[in-house]
Amino acid sequence: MENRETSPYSTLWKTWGLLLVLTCIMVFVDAVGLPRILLLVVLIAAMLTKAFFISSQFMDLKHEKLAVGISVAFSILFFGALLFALLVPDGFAVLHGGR
Amino acid sequence: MNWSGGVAPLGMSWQKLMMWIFIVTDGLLFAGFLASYGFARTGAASWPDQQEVFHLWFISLMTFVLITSSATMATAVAAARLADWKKVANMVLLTFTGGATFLAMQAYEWGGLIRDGVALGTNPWNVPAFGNYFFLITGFHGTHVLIGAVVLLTLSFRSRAGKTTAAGVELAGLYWHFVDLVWVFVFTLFYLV
Repeated sequence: MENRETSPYSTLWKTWGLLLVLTCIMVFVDAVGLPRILLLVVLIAAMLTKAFFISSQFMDLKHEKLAVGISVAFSILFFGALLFALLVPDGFAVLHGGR
Repeated sequence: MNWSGGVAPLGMSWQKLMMWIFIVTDGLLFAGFLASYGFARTGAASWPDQQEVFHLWFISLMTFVLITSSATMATAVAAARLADWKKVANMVLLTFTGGATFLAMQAYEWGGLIRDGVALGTNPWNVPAFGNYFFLITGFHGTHVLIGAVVLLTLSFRSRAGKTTAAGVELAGLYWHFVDLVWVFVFTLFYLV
């Protein structure tokens, strides 16, 4: 059996508060209408920050071996980003009718 | 050569390792959906304005419900490690309630959009990919929530009857947090961007 420390309840609810604040920021910046590029940067940064806190605090990756977190984050983020990098430019090519 | 066991890979039980491997593969499934949605969207001449199509305050409320259910689930996992089974059963039941509320809200959202004429292949904005990806992505996510809700309801009753272990609660928790995590990406990339 694994022997490990447990996060106190208060830490978990602090994470909850942080996630809510980040969500409010995202909805707010979306509503005020920033320039497109700036909006994308803010939203994606907030999204990844939320993903970090959910996986490290709620999914308890901070108490696992570092290799677990690195393997999981690398597999999903790297291959996810690769899919985007391969597909999205093709979308532009389709739109502009060229190669 | 025989591996006779002894050292757990990555220092975790095989059940938890399998759950993590499942999470990676399932995460890649959603990454594939979202990337192909990115392709369809950049390839479309126009895309419906989400501020007009969706009631974003309602979607934000759904996000709030799901994040809160994730927090109650994390509390349940912590309580299970302290062997406070009454608290586990209550917190898991609360998490289930959050999941069920989320599903009800999603059904309401789908109903409204379908009444507005959004379907697979056609919609009022003449961007077929919009409806396709909307129903595909939120539908797959909703199915995950539905499966999680069934697991959680069972888990709550089993915890009350003292028939579950801290490791079991933790596995259900990992799955549930993953469902929340996927929603973070869907909410950002489909509803806000």
